[in-house]
Amino acid sequence: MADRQILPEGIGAAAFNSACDELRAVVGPQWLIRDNAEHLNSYRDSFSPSDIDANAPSAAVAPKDVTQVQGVLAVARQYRIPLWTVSTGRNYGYGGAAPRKAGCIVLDLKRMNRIIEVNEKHAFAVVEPGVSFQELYQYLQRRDIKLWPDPSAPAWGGVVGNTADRGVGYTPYGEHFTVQCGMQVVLADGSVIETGMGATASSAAKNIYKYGRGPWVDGIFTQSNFGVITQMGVWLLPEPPGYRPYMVTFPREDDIHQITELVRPLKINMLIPNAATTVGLIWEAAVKTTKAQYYDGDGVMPESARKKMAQDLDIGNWNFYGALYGPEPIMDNNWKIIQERLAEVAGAKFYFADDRKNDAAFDYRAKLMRGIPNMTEFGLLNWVGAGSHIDFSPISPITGDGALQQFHFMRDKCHEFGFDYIGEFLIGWRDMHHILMLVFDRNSDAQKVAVQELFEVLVAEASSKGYGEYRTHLEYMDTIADSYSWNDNALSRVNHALKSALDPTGILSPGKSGIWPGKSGKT
Amino acid sequence: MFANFFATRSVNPGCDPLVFLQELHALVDDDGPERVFGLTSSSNRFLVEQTLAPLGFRRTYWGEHNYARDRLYHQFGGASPSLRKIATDVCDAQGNWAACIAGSLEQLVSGETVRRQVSVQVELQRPTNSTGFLCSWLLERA
Repeated sequence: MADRQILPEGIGAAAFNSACDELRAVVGPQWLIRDNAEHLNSYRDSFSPSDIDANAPSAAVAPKDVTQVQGVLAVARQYRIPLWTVSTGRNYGYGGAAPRKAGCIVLDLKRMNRIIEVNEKHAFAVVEPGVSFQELYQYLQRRDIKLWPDPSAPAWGGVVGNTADRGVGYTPYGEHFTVQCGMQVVLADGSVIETGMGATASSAAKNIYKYGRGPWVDGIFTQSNFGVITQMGVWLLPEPPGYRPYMVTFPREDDIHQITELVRPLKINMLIPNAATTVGLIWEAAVKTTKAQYYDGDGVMPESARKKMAQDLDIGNWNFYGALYGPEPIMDNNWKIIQERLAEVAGAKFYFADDRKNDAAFDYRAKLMRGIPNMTEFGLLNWVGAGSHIDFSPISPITGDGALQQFHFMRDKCHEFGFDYIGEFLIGWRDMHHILMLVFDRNSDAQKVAVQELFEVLVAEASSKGYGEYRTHLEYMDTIADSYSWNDNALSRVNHALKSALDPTGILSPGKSGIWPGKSGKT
Repeated sequence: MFANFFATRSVNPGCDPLVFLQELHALVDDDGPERVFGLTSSSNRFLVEQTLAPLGFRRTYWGEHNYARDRLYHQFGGASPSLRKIATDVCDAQGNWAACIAGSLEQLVSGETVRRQVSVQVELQRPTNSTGFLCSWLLERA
């Protein structure tokens, strides 16, 4: 950590001290984190490949309820100090809890961790931003409530934060924003709104009908900086009468074309109801082995070592994960159709849980697809020893041509810059998320530079081919926002107009998703 | 000394660290131990640090132990004045380096932030059951 005191831009030390005193009065002295360097360090982007001082916060403040959030916003408005809102702050790979701009005070909502309601009859929960997927899961388990959450891969991810960042999971409710219903939001001026049916006087249908009447505004509070979400309704999946996870391995890299073409109708027709995931060789291998166990040299793992690893671990160049849900006859019927189709790929091999005992990769995916949070996936960072990562995540249509094109150019660019391709394709309702995990050795300055150069190249190349990213790391929020430029940046102008109207003093998360306060709307 | 409170061991690289992290957080609360020592993968070190940072824990010693091309590279960082000696002892210990570090624990305790850095290497092949890279670390409550 730098020795000098980091301050918000344009704020002097005296004013900042005074603001901190007022914030202490709002939240209690121990919840204004400034002097505890270790605690404050945890709000930095430990995985960043660039200078972590560039995103260092000046302090963090942790309110416990809406009244305290309003108090914090009042201080921020008075001193014009920017806040950076996080829920559990575990969004590693996209920036963690660190702000886009150095000097912001992190508005940490971890103390707002109440599960307000679980409605078994209508299968939904209402949670505050500090509730993690693990906490929601445990709450349901302890009360023997037969509802499943849909966890992100790491269990400590926040339900509200992940949904607001439009994260995904692996059960049939895998697209989190689709199953969100109703929000409570504190606006920058301190006023509180309920969205959807929550805005009615009685709120009898709150959290069961998303839209209410008139413009539906929930979307503008996701991946944005227009308000602070303090409660959210999320639908939970009723436990099905049966569950059967499966894995299908495919031997060749270019099989991704045929796999994608075969899976599309199965997914769109809902024979595969959950997030259908096709995992690349190294992603699949890396939670149970390391690169050093197969290759001791520099640069990309050679083909011969990859083949040996695939053989030893009994995995493919692509590994498809899905699950059957429902009564046994329905699962049997659906499996017959799925197996018949996927068997069209030469060399496809089929596995159920009994075939993959003691397989850490199968085990954690089987858990995720049935709503059980875990932390196993973090282990894949050990692929290169002291691994860190940033993620590149373009969206494409579900076509073999699109998948193959993306895979080829991303793999080739990774190899050109000396990195292994570690990727997976997730098929949603009509789209395909391609998640490329750029794992680099954080002890290597050369790799840190290379991964940043690679990221820029990937953005440009993807953009030129018509692919935009659905989510991105702090460093690239402006770059990605610029790629959504149709009609002379018309969408960006709307975002800026909303920002100016809802947060005229620009105190909320400046730079989030490339949305900056001020006249220009740029940093 | 820390095992008086809590100790855990797993040699399976695919082991889910979630349960361990929850138990650790519950035990190392305000009145819990002042020091936590580990020999783990890099990712598990990160998870433990992130879990304990809000409780005021900071890293006062770290070691990274990397097998590459029939050599074992040790790097150490910490505030302990004995760091150089520990590095030498670890080299002498060859394949028993992890036990050597554990035996040096009392000398690593410092309560200060990391200052010194020492790097050493020995000729040593990676054991077949090793992932090739491990981290030793000591977190102390500030």
